[in-house]
Amino acid sequence: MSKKFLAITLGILTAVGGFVDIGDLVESGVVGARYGMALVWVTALGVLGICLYADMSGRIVAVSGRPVFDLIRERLGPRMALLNLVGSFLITLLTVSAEIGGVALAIELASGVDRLIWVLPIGVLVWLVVWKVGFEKMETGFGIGGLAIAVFAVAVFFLHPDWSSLGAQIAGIAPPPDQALPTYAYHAVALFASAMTPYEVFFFSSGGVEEGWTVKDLPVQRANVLLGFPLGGLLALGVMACAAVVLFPAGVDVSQLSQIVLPVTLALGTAGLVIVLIGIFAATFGAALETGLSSGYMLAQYFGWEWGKRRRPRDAARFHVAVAGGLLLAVIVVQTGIDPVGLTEISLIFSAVALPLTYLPVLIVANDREYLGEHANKRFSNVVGFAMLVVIAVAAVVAIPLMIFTGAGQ
Amino acid sequence: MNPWDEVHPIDLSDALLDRQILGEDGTVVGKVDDLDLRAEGDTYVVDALLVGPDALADRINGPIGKLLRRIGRGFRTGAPQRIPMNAIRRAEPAIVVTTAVAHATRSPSQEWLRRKVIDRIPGAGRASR
Amino acid sequence: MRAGELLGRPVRDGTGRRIGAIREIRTMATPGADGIPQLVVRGLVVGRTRVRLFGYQRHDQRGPVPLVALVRWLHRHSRYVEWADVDLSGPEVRVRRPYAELAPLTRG
Repeated sequence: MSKKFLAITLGILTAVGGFVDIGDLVESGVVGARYGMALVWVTALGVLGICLYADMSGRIVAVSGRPVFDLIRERLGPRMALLNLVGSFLITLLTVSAEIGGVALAIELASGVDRLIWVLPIGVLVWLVVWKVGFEKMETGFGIGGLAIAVFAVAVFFLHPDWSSLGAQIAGIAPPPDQALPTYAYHAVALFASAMTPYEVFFFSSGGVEEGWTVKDLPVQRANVLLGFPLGGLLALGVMACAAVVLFPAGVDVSQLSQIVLPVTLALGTAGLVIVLIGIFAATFGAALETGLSSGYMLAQYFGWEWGKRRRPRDAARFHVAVAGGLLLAVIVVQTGIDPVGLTEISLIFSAVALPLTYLPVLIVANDREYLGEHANKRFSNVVGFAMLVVIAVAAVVAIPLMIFTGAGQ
Repeated sequence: MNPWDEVHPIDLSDALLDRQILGEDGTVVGKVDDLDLRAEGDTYVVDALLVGPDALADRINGPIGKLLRRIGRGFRTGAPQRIPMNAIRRAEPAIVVTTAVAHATRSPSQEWLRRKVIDRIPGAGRASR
Repeated sequence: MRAGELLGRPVRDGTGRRIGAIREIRTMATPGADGIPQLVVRGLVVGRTRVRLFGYQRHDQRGPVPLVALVRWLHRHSRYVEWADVDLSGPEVRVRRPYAELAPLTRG
């Protein structure tokens, strides 16, 4: 592995945590089983959106050193920023719970031992990584481990699908005739929100600070964005395609992780199953780290604390107490036996509501010459970025009504 | 030693309030939670940056501000710290103050948590690499 | 006095009409008696909308075009008030001139 390749693991881990964490694995599976490939356009739109905004936030970090929640407090003022903080923090904490539950599920699938046994040890392990393991080692280990999810994409070929029918589903865009439009819209919003979850830009921009990006690292930053996030999107599409090939024709309604893994086992046997479980373990564990750290990043950046793994824990005491406290809360939530999969579905919809409060300040500051000078947004980023902001605003407005109207997509 | 140009107006909400304060050596100090204005002649002059949850809570006011102050007190935060304006070296866009002032600006909550929690865990003195 | 005490306070103009609240405090960097520059308050931005200016009052904050237009439109009733016209003596902030005489916002 060359040094060049290692330099983009931040983008890969961020994207793995954003696109194939436990909530997205399940959501992609559910969508594939229900609509075939008809929602691919949403994932594509999500990849475009997150690429644009991750690029803006990464550029701001490389040039000015300020991560995303600094910008939120500065541009929205203390009240609106606090509203965003409370919302994003709760959503992220819910996601941490879901990821820890997801890791436990993966271990249950592998060992047959009930998932609730594993919750506390996983929580402790996540904390140990936060406490001890260097940022770059962490992103390399879990980012690359998560790439094992690509086995879904491999499995698609071994399933010998009818490619023309898959292509027709992608181009069809509309839901199959027997599916209601509001439910389709609900899943579209959830899928879009999952691609653009705010913790991705919190983590990505804070990771840039942890790695000490400067103007010289702008090419590294761009490579992270352009390789990491599309790769994450492709991984998610692999999961969706597997479900579309096996579960969609059979009319299976997905509700469990074991159903999502099924097509891989069918195609590649036990070897495939082993790889997939390793991938899910790494991806959900990586996502638990990403969300756990993000909850600390956002608090620290709102209040102006010292933060980060590059500092000694005693110098960032408030940050470490916040992350550890968040992990403890998350462990308690999962330990109650709540279904982690259902948990993420809800957190996705609520995160759709919070999206504009995060992405508006990023777009504004990306146009501020005091911050970026000559590296400020060019025409393309502004035109597409603004259009994306409109999409984000629409998703935010319709998210809750759709959830109530469709009974959470049932 | 002038962090601001004298041609364009400086809007306080825009250019100062809620910005990150750093020391010249990179020490993290806090946010500009409020500004102290001193009367001078028939107008006011910015006298000091105020740092601390109490100053922030005053700006948020209402029940949420009260709650914030209560939580802050629970973590032993004290009265807002004052950073005199002449300590400011640059606005880039974080507000960079002299190292001496950065080190002199204490955070009671950080020190309390360090003493009570973090220092009791092995490895608290080592950054993760 | 703190900046936070000024920001958000409701304002009436010379005729007693409510014209919004203090949204921004405008200062200039001016050398003081000892030659060290200090930020001297020169005026206030008073506006009805709670939406912030987001830095769009500055010349180096540009684009995207629709967002600039939106913020400008939201602040179409906002006015700049010279500090000499501000009266802080009463319980409410008063501006000594009628609203029509106040200057709309321009980019600095």
